[in-house]
Amino acid sequence: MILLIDPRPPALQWYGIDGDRCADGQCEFSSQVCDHVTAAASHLGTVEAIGYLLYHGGETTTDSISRLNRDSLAKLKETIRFLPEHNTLTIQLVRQGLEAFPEADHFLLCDTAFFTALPAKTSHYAIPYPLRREGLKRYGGNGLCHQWIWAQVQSRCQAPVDKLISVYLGDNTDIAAIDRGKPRETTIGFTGVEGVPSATGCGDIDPTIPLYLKSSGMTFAEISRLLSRESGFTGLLGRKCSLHEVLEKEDHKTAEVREIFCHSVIKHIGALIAVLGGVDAIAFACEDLDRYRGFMLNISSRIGCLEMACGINPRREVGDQGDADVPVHMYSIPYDRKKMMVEMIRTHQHRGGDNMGG
Amino acid sequence: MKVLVFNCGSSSLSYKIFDALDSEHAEVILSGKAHRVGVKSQEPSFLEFHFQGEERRDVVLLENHRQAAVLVLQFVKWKKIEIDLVGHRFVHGGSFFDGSAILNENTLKKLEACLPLAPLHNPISLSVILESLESLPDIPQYATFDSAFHSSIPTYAYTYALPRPVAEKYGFRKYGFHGLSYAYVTREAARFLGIPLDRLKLVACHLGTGGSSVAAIRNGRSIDTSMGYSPLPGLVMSTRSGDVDPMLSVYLMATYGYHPDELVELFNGQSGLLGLSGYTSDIRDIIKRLSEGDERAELAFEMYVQRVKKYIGSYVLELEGMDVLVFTDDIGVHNWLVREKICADMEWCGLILDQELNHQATDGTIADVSAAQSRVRVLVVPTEEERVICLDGLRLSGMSDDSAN
Repeated sequence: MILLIDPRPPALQWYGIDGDRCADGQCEFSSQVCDHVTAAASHLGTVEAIGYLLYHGGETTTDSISRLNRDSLAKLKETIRFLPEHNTLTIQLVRQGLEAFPEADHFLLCDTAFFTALPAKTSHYAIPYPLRREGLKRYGGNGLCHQWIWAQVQSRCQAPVDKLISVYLGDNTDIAAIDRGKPRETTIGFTGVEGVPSATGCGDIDPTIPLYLKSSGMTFAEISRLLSRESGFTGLLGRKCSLHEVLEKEDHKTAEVREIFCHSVIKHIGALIAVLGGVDAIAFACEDLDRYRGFMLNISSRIGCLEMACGINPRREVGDQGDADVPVHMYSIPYDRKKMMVEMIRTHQHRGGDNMGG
Repeated sequence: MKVLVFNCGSSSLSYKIFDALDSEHAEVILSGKAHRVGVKSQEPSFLEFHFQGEERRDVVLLENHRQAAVLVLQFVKWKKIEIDLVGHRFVHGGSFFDGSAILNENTLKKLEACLPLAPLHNPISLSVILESLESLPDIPQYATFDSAFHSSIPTYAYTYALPRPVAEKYGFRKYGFHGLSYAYVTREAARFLGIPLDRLKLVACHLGTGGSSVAAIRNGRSIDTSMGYSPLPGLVMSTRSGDVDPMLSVYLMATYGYHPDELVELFNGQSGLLGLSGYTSDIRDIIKRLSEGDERAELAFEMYVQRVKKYIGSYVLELEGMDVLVFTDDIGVHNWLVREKICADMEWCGLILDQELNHQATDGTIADVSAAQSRVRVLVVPTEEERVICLDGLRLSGMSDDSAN
């Protein structure tokens, strides 16, 4: 089986996958993690390979997937400062995993690696140089997904797609602009709070707001929690709320939140098209395609304005395949994060080289 | 009717007296500007007067805006100009004002409540208002609000996705700025093209030497704009960063021990073009360095241009198409290179610039610089905020039913 390790401090989420059979679970971190997981997933056979998720690889982790060995640990430690709790946990798990499964292949899956190739004009904030030198810049995120969406579109399209708007729809929606396989822009910045409002994150807000909150007596931890865990759909509705609910519920209050979300998505798609200087395809990827179909139709019909205004002609119907006759293709792609990671690992198992920090 | 208009900038005070018959016929009889007000530097502050062909420039220490207003009011009295009405620009009227208002005890109280909303602008405007009320106690006076033009922005576009109680407690929402300028250039653009306002989808870029923003305007009404609760968000400006991750503020306070006030100053006063280049806050200086291969200048210029393009792209989709793109204010009107770069690779939304026409349009008159085959008309429209204030005053005093918006 292939084991996927997803750090969610203070716990970790694991998935064991062997063909169509799978197991998963959550557990607190301890020295017995490996024993616990092997016991729980024993019916899936021995561990052939492990993928460890690194949510933030800083500026130096440039490969989305790389092979791990003991020499990788030193380099991995350099990433701690970018996302201390998560990355410390990932490193602890890598160390244990390498020891407990010496026969297995170990891979690091990094969610920011794809976006290390962002051009400087996109990755920088317009702040003084000394702060930018400290690493205060836009790192993007969810890179594994966007890289995968790019590849999916390439394998499905009939006409060439150079300029792609890649939309991940979910509780943490984010959008990327990709030109010939290279990232050009993303909605995620220094953190995932920037960009489209999420289930609990505020998205783009006036950056002076945290300063007012601090002046009014809130602590950093409180402000941080407010913006990343208590805002978004949950903050607007005053109760825990997912994107599913936002898109499906009919009451007035939810409809208002839906409008805010749609507005943000439309706005960012427009901005990203401008960065690309045009668009060949817009792809939506999500875990539960059917539930989002109405939303995607809504967005694509609103993008349809470009047909009359500009001669761009997006397909009104969201389908799985592009149609060679129209300039802008809309794709909706079923997304399974675990499956995607397993595929990445399988592909890399048969390759040598590209060690991390070797 | 003679209308005196005061327009406070952060370090300047512009003023004009219009002799107005009606909204179509308002002639400027006196104008001028106080420069470098309250600025501590080697160069002196000075006050200009343009009156009946007379040009005067007094070098005088101007420690604050109120002092500059005193000198202007003295000059008006000395020249025996009988004022009928005084209009004041007030940047941020919060949610108290969705249009111009006559000043009285009640409205003054509300203005005071608005002071923290624009800490750089509102207090100085209020100081000029108080001086003017004291000096001309019998003349009706009114305030016109930059934020009022944006009061038509729909809820979904002005709401931040914060917990409702927090947003309500502090009044956090998008307000927007440069409203007077947008009101003016929108009407001028419609007039120039001969197309009624209610049939125009317009994106306007107010690119100033200090602050800059973009607005999406449908049927003459603002539906979105790049500035927010404060004037910080949006474009890369001379010393303002524009959009940054809100967590950056938290991180800087928590990790580096910044005080919130220091960060307000850092994002508003040391960032933007100044922060990127390290040596200038002026896009014109940066353009000069481009040919020398200065990497910092290049990055600053590219970011400035890309940020404007992003907002235009957003608003094309929000408006579901764009008929007109307007460039205004000092940089928008006088800098052809900035316009050329912003309009490059915009064929996707039907926009093609005429390079030659664009190159020529730098003299401060209204001009169409789009190519013949462009579906989007690109206009250069000089702005005149004082005229918007004057016209609103005429409407308030019943001389015109023409709405300023």
